[in-house]
This record gives sequence, structure tokens and C-alpha cells, in this order.
Amino acid sequence: MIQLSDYLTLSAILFAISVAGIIINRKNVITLLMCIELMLLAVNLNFIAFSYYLSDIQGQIFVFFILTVAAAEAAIGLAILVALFRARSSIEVESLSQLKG
Amino acid sequence: MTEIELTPLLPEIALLILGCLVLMVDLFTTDREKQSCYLVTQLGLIGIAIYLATHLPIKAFDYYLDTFRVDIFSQLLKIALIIISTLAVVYGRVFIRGRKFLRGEFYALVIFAVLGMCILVSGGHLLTLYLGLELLSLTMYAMIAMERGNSIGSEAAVKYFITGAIASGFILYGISLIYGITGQLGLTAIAEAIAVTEHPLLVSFAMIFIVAGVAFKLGLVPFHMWLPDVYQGSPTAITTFIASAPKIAVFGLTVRLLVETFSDLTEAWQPLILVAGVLSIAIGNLVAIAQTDLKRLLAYSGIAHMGYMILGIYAGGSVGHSAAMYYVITYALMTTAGFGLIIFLSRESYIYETLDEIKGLGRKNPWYGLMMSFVMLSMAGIPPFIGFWPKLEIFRSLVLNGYWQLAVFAVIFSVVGLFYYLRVIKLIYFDAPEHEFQFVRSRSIRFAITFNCLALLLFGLVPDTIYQFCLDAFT
Repeated sequence: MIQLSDYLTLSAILFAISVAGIIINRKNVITLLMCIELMLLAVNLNFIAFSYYLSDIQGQIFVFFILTVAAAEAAIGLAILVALFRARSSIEVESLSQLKG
Repeated sequence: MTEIELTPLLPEIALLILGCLVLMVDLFTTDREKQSCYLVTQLGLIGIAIYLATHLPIKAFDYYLDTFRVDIFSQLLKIALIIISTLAVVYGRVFIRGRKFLRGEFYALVIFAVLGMCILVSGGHLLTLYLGLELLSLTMYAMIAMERGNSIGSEAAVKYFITGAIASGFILYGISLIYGITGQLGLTAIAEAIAVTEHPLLVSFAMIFIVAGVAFKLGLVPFHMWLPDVYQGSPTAITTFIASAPKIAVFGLTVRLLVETFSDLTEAWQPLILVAGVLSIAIGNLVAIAQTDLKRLLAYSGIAHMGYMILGIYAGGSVGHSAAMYYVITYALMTTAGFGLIIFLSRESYIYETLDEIKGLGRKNPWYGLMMSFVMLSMAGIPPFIGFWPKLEIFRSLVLNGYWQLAVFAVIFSVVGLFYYLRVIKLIYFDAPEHEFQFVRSRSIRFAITFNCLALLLFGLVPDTIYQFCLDAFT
């Protein structure tokens, strides 16, 4: 039998992986987008586990909204990347260094 | 069948229709500058602000299964942020003229951002708060990357997108834990559940995530790294908008979450925002001294201002909260004036951005030099101007609640801040101009700048006008 704590541990691990991915990743902006998606999915897992164990439907409704927003966010993120690639011909994280001071 | 009362949601519905209307008007006008979109946007926003001002609620009420809260606080914030957005659109129209922007979409995105902010300040449920915050953030990401061929703008957009998404992720993770502990998502229900919870430590743990996310959005130290880059890199019209009105909305979110929902955990969140506030004031003011770019300077000064504002929430009580509200509204007014002046100091293809380039502005152009010094004096908090009074209220609320050491600290760093504000004034009056100034030729922006900067002085002479509203919001 899978316990609530197992779900929570898994979601915490996923969340930690995504945060670590954003901080450590020095290569490609696409990987950052993937990490952000993973972060939202970790939260979704949390919500669904709680919703099931609390027998409360609100959490699952919340997940629908998060999925929708995540889709919109990915669309805008990729659109920004296209704009960046057009202007710079590169989406390396290290090329994002014109702004500093 | 039960009837659904739509009146409380009317301003938001009107904003939604207005946004779609602007998109339609955009489709059917042949005018390159899309004057009709501009007119529809401005008339619509002003109309909604007037409607809100004439329909102030007498007492707070929750609608639609407690998801939407209408009280004096939310309605006043909505009026303030709509007025500030209107000003930002006046400046923005002049800026996007002759640049590679999609004109109609600019106005539509502003309206959708305003809609997001209105939902955010009225949220009575974590889902509404989240959706309002995301609507606001997503439109802002798109707006920053909007100028075609602007590589700095796209870099700023990527940075803002990544940090904004992390912030949303943190807030969401906190929300999911809160939901798991209390089994509730409505703010009132959560507050009641927290008061009797058996796991105060877990709730505090979840709250740390939420506070971190909110600090990201406000740009408080240590989550401020994105802010100067984004302010500098965005097209100035967009900076004017994202630096002003969203601060008011995120302040609304902070009050809804920390003050109204986590009121039983005050001891747990107070140290967090104390550290964030103190560090923001210190680092914001100190780093601003080293800046040579006007937009970056205003960004660091913005970090410091948010630090003062959060100290008002730290002080607590209706005095502290209304002082913070007063602070954030006047900050938004000052910062639109500041970035509006930067828009005004630009030509078709060039912006006078660095401090060296505005040398001698006051000699060549006394009136706008005077306006610039009004903004700087007001931001520094020199008495006749509006910037002084909210600072005074913050200090007063700190002293009243027994945090006099903090008040002394804040005053000392205000003096440090004075240095870089006065340096700008020194540059525009006492240094010889190095070149001829050419400004955008537009009557509307000259009028708006003069109006905005004189408002800083006039509201400063009658400080009670805005402050009285802020007091009403917290009684």
C-alpha cells in the first residue's frame, strides 16, 4: 500500500531536482523550461495526493487550472525563446550576459 | 436554478470585454498608430475607475463560494492601479510610436494585465490569487519580449520568465502544503483552520515557500537579482508599466496572505520579512550609488522602496498596514513619473539613459529639469513632496510598535539614499551640457509629465487625501 508520505517524498524530490536543475544548469535555456514544468508537475502530484487522502475534490480542480496555466506558460516561454534566438542566434544560458552592473 | 449575482464582478467583466474589444478594434483599423485602440483603452480604463470610485462597498463581503472578496481595501487598490496604468499607457503610446511594436496588442496586453491585478487584489481563495498572479505575470513576460529585433529585451524577458516561474512554483508548492495540512483553499477557512491546527511547524514550513515567492515578485533582497536587469533591458514603455502598477497588486497579495490568512503565524513570518526588508533597504540604497544607468538606478531605488514598504507590514497593526499601502501607492506614482521622464528624454531611435547623457538638462531645458528634480526629491523623501509622508508614516508605525532601532536604521539609509538622488539633480543643474537635447515631440506626454510631477508636489501639500483612504481600508 502506498502511503501519503511516499507521494509527498516523491513530489519533494521532484521539486528539489527541478530547483537544482535551474540553479546548476549553465547550458541551455530549454532545459530551464523543462525544469519549470517539472516543478509544476511536482506541485500537481502533491495536490492530487492530498486531494485523494483528504477525500476532497478541490485539490483536483486546482490541478486542472495549474495544467492549463502551465501550458500557457510553456507557450509564452517558447515564444520568448524564439524571439531570443532570432535576435542572438543562440539560446545558451551563458549568452544571456548583456545586462549586468 | 439559482441566480448568480454579477454586480461585484462587474469591473472585471468590463475589463475582459474591453480587452477583447481592443483586439477587435485593432483588427479593423487601418491606421498604423492605432489611435482608436488607444482611445478605447483609455476611455474604458477611466470609465471602470470612475465606476469603482462611485461604488465603494461599505463593508467587506465574499462572493462566489468565498472565492472573490470585495472590500474597501481591494476597491481602493483597484482604483489606484487603474489610474497608474492609465498614466503608463499615455507614456507608452509615445514610446511605441515609430518602434517595432504591435500597437494594438500592447494596449490589449495592458488591459489583461490590469484584469489580472484586479483579480489578484480581490482574491479570497488561493485559486483566484494564483490565477490573478499568473494572468499578470504571463502578460508581463509577453510585453517585455514584445519589441521585435530587440535582443536586450528578449534577454530581459527570459530572465524575468525564469525567475517569475520559479516564484510561482514556490508559491504553488507552499499552497499545496497548506491545502494538505488544512484541507481548505479559501482564505477565511484557512485562517480558521490554522488557528486550531495541530501542526504549526508544518504550516510555518509551507508559509516560508509562500513568503519566498512573494518576495521574488516584490523584488526583495535576497530575491532581487532579476529586477535591475529586467528594468534596464525592457523597452522603457514596458518598464514604466511593470515597475508601477504590479507593485500595488503584489502588495495586495502580501496583505491578503500574510496579514489576513496567516495572522496566527505573525511570529513566524515577521523575522522573514524583517530580514528581507532590512537587506533590501541596505543593498538597494548602497548599490544604487554605484549605478551609471538611470533605469538601473531607479531599479535599485525601487528595491530599497519595497524594503521600506515591507517594514510597514512588519510593524503591523492598522497604522503599519495603512502606512505600507500609502507607501506603495505613492511609490507607483513616483516611479511612473521617473520612467515617464526617461521616455520623454528620448528620440525616435535613441534614449538618454546614462547619467552622463542627462548632464545639463536643467540648463538647456529648465522646466523638465525641474520636473526631474521633483521626482528625485520626492523619491528621496524631502518634505513638501509626497514621498516624504509615507516614509514618515512607516517610521512612525515602527516607533509606535517599539521598533525604534529599525526606525533609526531606516532613517540612516534614507540619508544614504539622498546621495544618489541629489547627484542626479547636481548633474542636471550644475554640470555643463555635452550635447543638444532633442525630445519626443508630443503634446500629450508633455502634459502628462507635468501633471504627474506636479501631482507629486500637490499631493505632498495635502498628504491627508490619500492617507485617509488608506486608513479607511484597514478599519
